[in-house]
Amino acid sequence: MTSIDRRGFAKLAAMAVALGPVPLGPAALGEALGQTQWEAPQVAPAKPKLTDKQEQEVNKAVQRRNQQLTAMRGRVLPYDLEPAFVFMARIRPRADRQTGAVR
Amino acid sequence: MLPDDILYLSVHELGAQILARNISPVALTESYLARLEKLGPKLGAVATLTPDLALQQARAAEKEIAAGHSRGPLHGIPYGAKDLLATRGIPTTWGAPPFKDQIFNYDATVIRKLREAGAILVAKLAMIELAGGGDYNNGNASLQGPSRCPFNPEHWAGGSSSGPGAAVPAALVGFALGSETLGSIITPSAFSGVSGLRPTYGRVSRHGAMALSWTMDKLGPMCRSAVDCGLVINAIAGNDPLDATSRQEMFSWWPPTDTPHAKSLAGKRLGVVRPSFDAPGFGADPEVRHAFDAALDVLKTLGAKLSNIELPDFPYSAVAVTLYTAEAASIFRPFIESGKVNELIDDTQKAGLIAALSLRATDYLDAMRIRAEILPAVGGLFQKYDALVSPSRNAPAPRLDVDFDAAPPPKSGEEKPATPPAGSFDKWNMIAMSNIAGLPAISVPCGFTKEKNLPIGIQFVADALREEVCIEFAHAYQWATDWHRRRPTLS
Repeated sequence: MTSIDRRGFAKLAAMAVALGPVPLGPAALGEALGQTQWEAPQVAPAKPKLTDKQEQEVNKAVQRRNQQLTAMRGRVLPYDLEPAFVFMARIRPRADRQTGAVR
Repeated sequence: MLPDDILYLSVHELGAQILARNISPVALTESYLARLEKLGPKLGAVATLTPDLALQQARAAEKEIAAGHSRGPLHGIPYGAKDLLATRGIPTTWGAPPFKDQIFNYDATVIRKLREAGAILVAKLAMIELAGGGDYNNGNASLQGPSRCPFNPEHWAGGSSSGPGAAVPAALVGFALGSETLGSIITPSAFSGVSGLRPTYGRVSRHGAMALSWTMDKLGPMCRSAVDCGLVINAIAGNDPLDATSRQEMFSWWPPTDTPHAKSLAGKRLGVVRPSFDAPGFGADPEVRHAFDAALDVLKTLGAKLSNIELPDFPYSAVAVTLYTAEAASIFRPFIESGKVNELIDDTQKAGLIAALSLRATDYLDAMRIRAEILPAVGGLFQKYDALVSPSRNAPAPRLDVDFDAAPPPKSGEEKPATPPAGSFDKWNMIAMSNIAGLPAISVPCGFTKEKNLPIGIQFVADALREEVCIEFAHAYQWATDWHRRRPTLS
């Protein structure tokens, strides 16, 4: 990623104010940020090509699932109930870092 | 070839004979390999035989034991592994046609640990494709074909650890490793007359096992006795830097030096989760009720204090299915979207995996939030009871030629079979409850149906990290009964 300094940012901001709200495409944005190329991410198809029969099977599976989920969706959950997993930020040991040392 | 009387011995018994040098690990391995070749295909138990590796490991074991160096009770014992465990240089098919040529260049941690304990890998065992992550409607849903119950091969061995279910009671291996996300050890153990232990979530490293649900997958032993389950867990439990969810707590269980006795459960408190066998649409089998009641009488005679209870009121089934469906959808999304999913065998499985992609994130998070309520509620039960007990399954193994969703015939006087509302059976759903909470459980045989000779199982569930409690109850029960000693008639 190209870094941008304060002066570069101020210049871009001034241009933006002067031009008003111009739709900035990925290529133009890349140019503005000094990038030469911008490739759109490859978007995978949402689901495989299905035959009519398969489409019906999938719909049936969704219906079956929705019916099963009624027991869960109808449940009122306290707003402060958090999920049963814990995210913890942690410092990974790095070879070039001496933890605890002030440098 | 060694006689059947030896091949049907438990790991505990085999280990003692090997240590005393009454049985040669090489001869034992050759005998199990011959039996796997002869009976494995008939029972649909095998994915891949590993004779070269097995004989190499057997010779090494024999040499070490002859030199007076024993690695412990599994040294020289041949075993089979469910085909979702990575084994270096040997196909690992996950039971699914799209992965039939898959070969890993490393061993799963459990495979490594068993190798270090001196156990001998003789076969990768059959399984339901992708461990049934998209749901499935028939026991045929496997690359290896249907696995058959050795006691009645017209019936299913259970799944998704179907190969271990077929192989262990037929004495094709000394023991086997299975996996469970939502019933995949307990069910084949019940349907095929196996003693199977599902450990606490995190007790056994999942590194190298096919991921279906990061928060629910567990690996565990399937054996011919509860004691054997303890011996195998001893070898495979423990922290593994390659699995961030593996627990630091040590596990060590050894068979008691005292033989169990008539009152060995004196003072032990059991919460009995007794299904209402007459509930419409529950599909409960009266022979299961009879076997379960008889088993409770045995436990009472052994001194256990029994109290009927119901599980805390939660939508266990919906929560469990939502958790693993969402996680499986994320894990298999590239596979599903590539269209490879269409190469699977079971239509229900294909449709289920595709449908899984549309599950809402809010449903998954709600399931995780309800899980947070379930954990303390269920934990409270273990302040009153040492363990919970229930039938492992409410009916014996289904026939292989009948789809699971085939409606049972209406009872007399009814126009159509009763369709129970979703979640009706949650208050007895021990498999869903205990898998959501990550609790250990053991299923052991407690009877057979009269006409069809189908095994019936009873399960004990204990608090987290208390596998030894499950084993103690099951061991005492097996001391007082001989259901686990029954052998199938095989030709």
